[in-house]
Amino acid sequence: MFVGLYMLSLFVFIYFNSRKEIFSSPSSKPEPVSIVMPCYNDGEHIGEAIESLLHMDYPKELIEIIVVDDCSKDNSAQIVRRYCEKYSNVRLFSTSKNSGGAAEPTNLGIMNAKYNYIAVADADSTPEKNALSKMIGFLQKDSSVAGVTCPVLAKKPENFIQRLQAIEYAIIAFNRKLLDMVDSVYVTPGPFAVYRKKDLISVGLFDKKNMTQDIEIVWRLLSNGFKARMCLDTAVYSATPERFGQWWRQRVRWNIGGTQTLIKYRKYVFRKGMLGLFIIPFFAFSLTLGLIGLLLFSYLFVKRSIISYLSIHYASYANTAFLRFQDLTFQPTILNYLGIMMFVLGVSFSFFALFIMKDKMIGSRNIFNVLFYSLVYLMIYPFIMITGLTKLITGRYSW
Amino acid sequence: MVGAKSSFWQALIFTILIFAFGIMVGVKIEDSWVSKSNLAVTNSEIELIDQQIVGRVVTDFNLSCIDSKKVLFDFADKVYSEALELESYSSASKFSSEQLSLIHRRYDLLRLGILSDASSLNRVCNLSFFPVVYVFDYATEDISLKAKQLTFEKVLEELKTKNPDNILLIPIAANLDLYSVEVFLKGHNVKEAPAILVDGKVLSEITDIRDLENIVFESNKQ
Repeated sequence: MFVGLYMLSLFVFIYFNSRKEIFSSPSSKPEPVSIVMPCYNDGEHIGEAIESLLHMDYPKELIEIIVVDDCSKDNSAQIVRRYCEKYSNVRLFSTSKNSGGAAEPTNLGIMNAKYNYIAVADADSTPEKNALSKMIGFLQKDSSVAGVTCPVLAKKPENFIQRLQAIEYAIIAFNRKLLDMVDSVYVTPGPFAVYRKKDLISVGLFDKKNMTQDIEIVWRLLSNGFKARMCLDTAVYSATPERFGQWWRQRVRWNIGGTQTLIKYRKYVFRKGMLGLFIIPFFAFSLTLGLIGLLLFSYLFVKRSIISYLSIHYASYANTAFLRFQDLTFQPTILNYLGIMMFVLGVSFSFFALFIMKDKMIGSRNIFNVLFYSLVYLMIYPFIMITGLTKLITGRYSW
Repeated sequence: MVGAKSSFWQALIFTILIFAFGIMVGVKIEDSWVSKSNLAVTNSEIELIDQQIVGRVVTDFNLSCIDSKKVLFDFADKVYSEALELESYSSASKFSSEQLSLIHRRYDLLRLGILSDASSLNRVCNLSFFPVVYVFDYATEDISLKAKQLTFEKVLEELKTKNPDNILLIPIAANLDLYSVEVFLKGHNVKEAPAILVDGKVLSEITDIRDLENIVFESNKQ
């Protein structure tokens, strides 16, 4: 509870100490950018994704779009070929065999890129028109910045689970900007991020073995003395899972990747600036606290259930009442009060984050959705962690 | 950015302050529970002593047995409900467990005192009421024991509700390190908790409420 309250107050203090700067971005001048788009079975979205890149407010002659098809089984490659015929700055590459992840096609695209600035874009995402012009300034202004991310928001949230993800994405974006204010951006998500080609090559490009190459690359850049920044002044809209099963698999994958990264970089704890001083402990705490919380809750729940079961069994034998009024009464402890206070503060912070992000966010921010997100949606995460860890330990995981 | 980085210290100080304030409030709340329970147990102790002195001083007067029984029952019920409240405080307590445990011991002594008064009253007045002693394990963490105790409590409460004027329910914690309780339990051959003690009979297993009712009323007929 102490760590939870500390993290919450940390975010609040960061906001109040830097609220004037959070939407600012450095001025930029147009320079050539290669946009690399890995693609696998994205026929449904890829046309829209390429269109959005072609219609950005960035000089067309300074953009090349490199789509790398990872042996899609659908019509993705055909769609891209049509764009290649129509636009000279759209190119298509293909991997020799399906790599099972985004890292290999992205690396292939980077190696074939003509320009020094690389934007990596997902084939199911559409950046805002100003995304590139707003983000590239961070790289131009500071040579130690090697990666720039922006808010990833939900594209067309239609059903309930997508609306919950829309809330989650907006809150994450706000929090990530707050982390940026203390040099602690720990991921440049796949939907849209900008890098410097030579920096990516110097650290060895994206890790093909990691399930979340977009987290791993940032930790590698940070461990090599580079910085990552977040631009809140723009956004990219990404397709979100429509069904619980898809959402679960995606989150398990993110969890496995996050844990892989944590294990890989554990040696840097308390070293390498903010990576070791804050990001690694923050990540480790989030993982450990979630697991401890789940274990504690499970222990209490199982204990309570066994007592209730035995008690009902005995009561039926004794021919007496199963429940008494006093069994339903509850004397709250000081920890219960603190827990309620934490929950209220947490929900208030979520509302505040959504209020800040209101102009960018698509979808409903009604009270029920936010409460459901806080009370139910977030409670599923420890179970995802357990599944992710089990898969990681047993080696039964794939993209 | 420098200003933002000072957030780490600001948040730490703020969190420590909030936690310290929370602990202070918690201690204050629990202090009020302890004070309330202390006051209640002291009043009850005075009441018990008062009744015992009445018994000694007013031997020459024709003291009504019925009135004495009523006073005893009301007093036992009051002590029972106070102990329930104390129990709810104990289960929620984080800082005052030791003080609350002391109050539990005082209540245990009080209830033993009530039992002793009840036996005297029964002997002198030959009244038809049945003292039922419930021996339990205080603050047990054993799951099966907890479930068993919960059932014993339900059965006895139901029995008491059905026969409010005939049954005097006396719960006694077996493990509060009281010599008088130890002697009492040894004297009645109570070897484990939970157990129900009815007129010298010890019931350690869960019993059907009707059977228990029969045992209680039959034992007294004999």
